[in-house]
Amino acid sequence: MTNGDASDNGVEDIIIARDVHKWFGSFHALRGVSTTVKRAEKVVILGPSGSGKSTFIRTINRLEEHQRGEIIVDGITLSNDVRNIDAIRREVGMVFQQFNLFPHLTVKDNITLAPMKVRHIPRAEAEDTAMGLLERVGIPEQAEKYPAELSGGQQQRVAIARALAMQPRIMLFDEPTSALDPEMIKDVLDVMTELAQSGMTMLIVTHEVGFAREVADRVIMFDEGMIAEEAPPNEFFINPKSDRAKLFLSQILH
Amino acid sequence: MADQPRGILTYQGIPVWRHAVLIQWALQIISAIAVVTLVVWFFSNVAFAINDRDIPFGWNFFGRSYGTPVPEHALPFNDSTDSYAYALLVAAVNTIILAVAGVILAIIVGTLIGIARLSPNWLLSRLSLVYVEFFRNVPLLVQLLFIFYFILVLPPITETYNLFDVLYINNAGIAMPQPTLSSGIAPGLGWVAAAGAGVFLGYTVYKLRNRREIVTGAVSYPLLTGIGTAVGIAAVAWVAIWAMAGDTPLGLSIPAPDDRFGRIEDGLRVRSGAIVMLVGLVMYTAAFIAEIVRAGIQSVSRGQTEAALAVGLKPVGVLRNVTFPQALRVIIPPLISQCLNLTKNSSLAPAVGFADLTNVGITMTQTAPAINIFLVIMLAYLAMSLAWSAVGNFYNWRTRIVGT
Repeated sequence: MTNGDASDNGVEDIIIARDVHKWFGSFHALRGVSTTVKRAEKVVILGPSGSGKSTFIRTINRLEEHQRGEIIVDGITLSNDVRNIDAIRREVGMVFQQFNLFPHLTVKDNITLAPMKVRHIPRAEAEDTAMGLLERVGIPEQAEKYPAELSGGQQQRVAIARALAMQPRIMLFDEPTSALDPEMIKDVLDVMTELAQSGMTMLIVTHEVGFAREVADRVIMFDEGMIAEEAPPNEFFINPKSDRAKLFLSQILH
Repeated sequence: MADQPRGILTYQGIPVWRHAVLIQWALQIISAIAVVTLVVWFFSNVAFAINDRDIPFGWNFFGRSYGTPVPEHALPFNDSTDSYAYALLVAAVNTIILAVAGVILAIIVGTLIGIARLSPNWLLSRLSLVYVEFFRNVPLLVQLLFIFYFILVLPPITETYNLFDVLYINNAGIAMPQPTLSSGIAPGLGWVAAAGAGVFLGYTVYKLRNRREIVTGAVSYPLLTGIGTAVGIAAVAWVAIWAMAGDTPLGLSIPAPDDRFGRIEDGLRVRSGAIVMLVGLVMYTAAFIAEIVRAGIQSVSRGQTEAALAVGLKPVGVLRNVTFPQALRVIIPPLISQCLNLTKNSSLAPAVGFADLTNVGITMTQTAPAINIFLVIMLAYLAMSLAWSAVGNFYNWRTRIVGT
């Protein structure tokens, strides 16, 4: 594991979650989740559907509000202080299962929108950055097209570029390949692998076991709103400790 | 296929009653005959009735002088010399002014209420809900009459409310100051042209500065410099024309009560009928537009908002850059239909005494053939509605999304 460069905030533990609880009405979705993510660490989150894994990473950038416990991102405590929320969202990029590209904007405008509106970066510079990112994800020729003209795999790579344009320190991936046709999954995973090698801190909710084995520093398994098991991938996949993890692995590894 | 039917009732080897193309054609022809028969029957009936009962019919009334006052007229109107045709035009302009002003205000009010309806602020969203449900569910005519009687409760002209000797409010209407060309057409229009050029230049400066700020990142105060340019040019032109012409470019007509005749002279006087129509149509239509705006915003998937928040946009930025542009596609078609409704609903004006197309038409039927008059009026409303549709189609075409 590399430690990356010294950050502005000088925090080694870039994400700290302590006893995080979340209710949807009466449904207790997160039941005391505690974990720490180190700078440049790659964490893959597994678990059956409804286990709270997506909810957990969505609390990290306040797409879901946690009701109890504490979340600290790069030294900033996530609270109701709007300034803290804005600061954390600038640090944290997110990629969604359904891509969520803006359909009324071209690929390039999708990527430049936030840097120009939020960081007030001049258009020419933002467009240069956007083109650089499109090169990086391998689809510079699609810059002037609209999202609906692209394949799912291309759209997801644009979504990654869009998140990277804000120069985040942390990237959250919420089942990034679950909505893709099988032949497109590899393109997206390749981009994510490259990103992992560049030293980005990544939290990835995924069912791609091969990817988890290759890229993850640590695997966290969620079950019923709690962390059921937390271990390096080799240990987790070959020799899981909890019965819950054994059962889950027997279901997804055929 | 050996047992293919052969004979006079087959086409391309298929019995005609089973031939898809021929069936289509037969249905087309039958329906065309039905339509033509109905139309002929209807119009011949009308023609017989008109003849039978000596109902006046014909178009030569158009050129005759109308000889009846039109209470509101944005265009100049002389009731002793101007013709029926011109009176209809004056009335149509009244309707158009009411409709355009009403649509603009209804869109503004309706959009604000529609957004408020989705506000996380409980009180705001409840108030919007009450507004929408109230104004949508009470008949428009009843609302108009209520406002009409409400205005009647105001004091009469002789005891008018007087705000600072410039604004008069009473049960006959409102009188307010109005700029005039009292010092001559040339200096007046000259200044208006100069001010217009100033606004245009100011806007250009705003765009350029804005672009500079976006491209170079240098703080350039685009709004401040733009407004400054426009105001500066207008002010310089005002002083220059004043110096050259010896009088201010535009005069100001201030209303004043005329005690002898118990009425208010000068200024811009808006009669209560026009106020009732404008307020009533705007409040009623805004309720429908609010629902359209709400539905449009809600039609944009939650994922769009989340993605926009996740890249760091603030809620207002999300609405402006992501949600609203997409909602517009859903909003525009039903919004245009509300513009049509407002325009057509303006024909309730006779109930409150505003001289719109329908009201003037009703008055005309006492001295001219009613069927002819209302044929013309129907065509006029049809033209206005088609104009709104054209606006909507143009907007739809501009905001279309490629690839969906």
